[in-house]
Amino acid sequence: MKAFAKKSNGIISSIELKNRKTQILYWCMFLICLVLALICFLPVIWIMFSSLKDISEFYSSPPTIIPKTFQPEKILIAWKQLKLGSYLRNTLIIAAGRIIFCIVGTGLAGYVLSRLKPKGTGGMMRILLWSMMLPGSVSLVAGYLQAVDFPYLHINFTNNFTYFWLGALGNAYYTLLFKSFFDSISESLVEAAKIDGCQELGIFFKIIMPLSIPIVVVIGIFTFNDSWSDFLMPYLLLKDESLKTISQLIFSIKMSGSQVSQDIYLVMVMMSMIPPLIIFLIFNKHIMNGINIGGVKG
Amino acid sequence: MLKTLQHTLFRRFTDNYIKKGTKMFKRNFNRGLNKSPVRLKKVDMAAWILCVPFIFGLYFFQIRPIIIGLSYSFCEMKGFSPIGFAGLDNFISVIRDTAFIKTLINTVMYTVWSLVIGFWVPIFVAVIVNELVHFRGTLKVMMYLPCIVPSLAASLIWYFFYQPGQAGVLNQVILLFGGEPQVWLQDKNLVIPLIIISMTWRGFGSTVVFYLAALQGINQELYEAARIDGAGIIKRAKTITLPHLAPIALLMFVKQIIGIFQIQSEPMLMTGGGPNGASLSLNLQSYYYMFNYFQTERALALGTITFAILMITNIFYFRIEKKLEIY
Repeated sequence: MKAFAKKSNGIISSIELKNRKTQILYWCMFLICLVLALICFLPVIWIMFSSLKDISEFYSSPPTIIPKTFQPEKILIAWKQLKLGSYLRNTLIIAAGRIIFCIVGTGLAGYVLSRLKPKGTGGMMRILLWSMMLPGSVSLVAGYLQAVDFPYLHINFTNNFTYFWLGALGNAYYTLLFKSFFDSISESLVEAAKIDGCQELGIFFKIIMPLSIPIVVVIGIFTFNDSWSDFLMPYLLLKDESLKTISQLIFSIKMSGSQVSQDIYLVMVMMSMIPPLIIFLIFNKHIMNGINIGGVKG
Repeated sequence: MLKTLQHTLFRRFTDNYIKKGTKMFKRNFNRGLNKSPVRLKKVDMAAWILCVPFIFGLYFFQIRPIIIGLSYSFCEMKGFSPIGFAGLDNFISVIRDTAFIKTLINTVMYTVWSLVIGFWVPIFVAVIVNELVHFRGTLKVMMYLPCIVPSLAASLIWYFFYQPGQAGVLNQVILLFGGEPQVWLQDKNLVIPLIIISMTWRGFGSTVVFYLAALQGINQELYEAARIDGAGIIKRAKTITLPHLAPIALLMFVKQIIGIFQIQSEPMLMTGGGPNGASLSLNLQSYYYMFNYFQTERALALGTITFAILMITNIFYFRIEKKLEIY
């Protein structure tokens, strides 16, 4: 019960938790949370283990919910059969490019809106807030039209990663995240640097950049996840087999129903989940804090 | 006696004087900064030049597709290029389509179900998680985990769960408890809530973390004061927690409407719009017009209708939000 005494936030205070009734209420709430967390957690684990079941167990009827066999070598079989390496590599290249473009574009814009505040900042902020709320119901079709024949330049972006990279430049939400983070950097640090004779660029590289590593990491991860899940635009634009992404492959196999056996298909779905999961497990503290940064201002 | 009075008067006078002085100094100093030649127009230009990549991206990838899409929906299209003005013909042909009313109702049903299932759950869970002291971090991470799963994989996981007959995982669980196996996604009354459940499963963790951040901003002394004044746990939640969450909840509410109203890939993956069009949404229909029937103008017209409906929602939101900010 020591943990109760340390409780410092929330509706129920630590004094009330000495009461028996309140304790029962607390454990009920804990149970609800635990059940919900398990509902969230178990399907992910289940798909991982059941895709690695022995093939005879996989097709047995009724199927076993708790798998009895475990064959990690199926990953290798799927890897060779479907040449997953090239698909994963393409997805990674697109994601990496998107991360770089996104951080450069939105980071600079966030810096300008937060620190430099040129004339027209208020108007720009209003445009950003509005564009975040704009429904994009026509933009898939119209986006496809402009990808095939880009305005003014007349470039055809089919079979080209550049379109996806450029698309990451202008994200209003991430710009606002950057802005609110830069807003929170104390002015006195910048003042001190100015007094010590630091120039505007020096301030950016020597003070702002090192301090904003957390937000860069968070937005990088968000962009990575967005780009990893994206399958419609790649499906429409990347027609060359050597350029396809993993999500696109999963989608096109699902849509066309080609001859891939169910269990190998499941292994592939699992493989598409693993890179984001690894990144999440490494950076999960950053992600949680990053949402806090954005959450304060909405 | 007199001396102390004198002393206090003197101190008050000097304090006032110092305060006024610093205020004046600050004001003059700021004015001097603002008027100083450092803030030339050149500086503004340089700042905006740094913004060019962002503005390029925002215009070409967010705003221009919408403008082009909206304006082309009034045009006669040949393939991908407009060949003439069509007025409202595209809209009339889309609305006259026998499936239109049904699709619209489906889309509204998606939104209603998503609000019924997915709106209050994150608020409730966030308030509860905020109370926990045991395993709080672990539970948070576990709840956030599905958000990391790519949407495609999440849809497929639930597709496997919902499979009819002996093969489905949910049916296995039901059989274990001695119930009747269901057909799940092939049931035309169940298909929409089932798809919404799978989406809520994927999305609610991030919303919970979002609300948690807002809960952290509540001043703890408010709760203490209310407790000392004799307010019970539920009353405190009602009078302190919920009003504090209201602005963010409103934003989430509108964002959810906007997001779900444009639902497309989940039904496409899980049912393809079936059974018999029972899970067809406006955006999915628009996709089919474009990429299955190659009727660009109808796809765009349908998209424009969705756009118009959602913009009306947006206008309401901004009105209500202004009222909330006054409080």
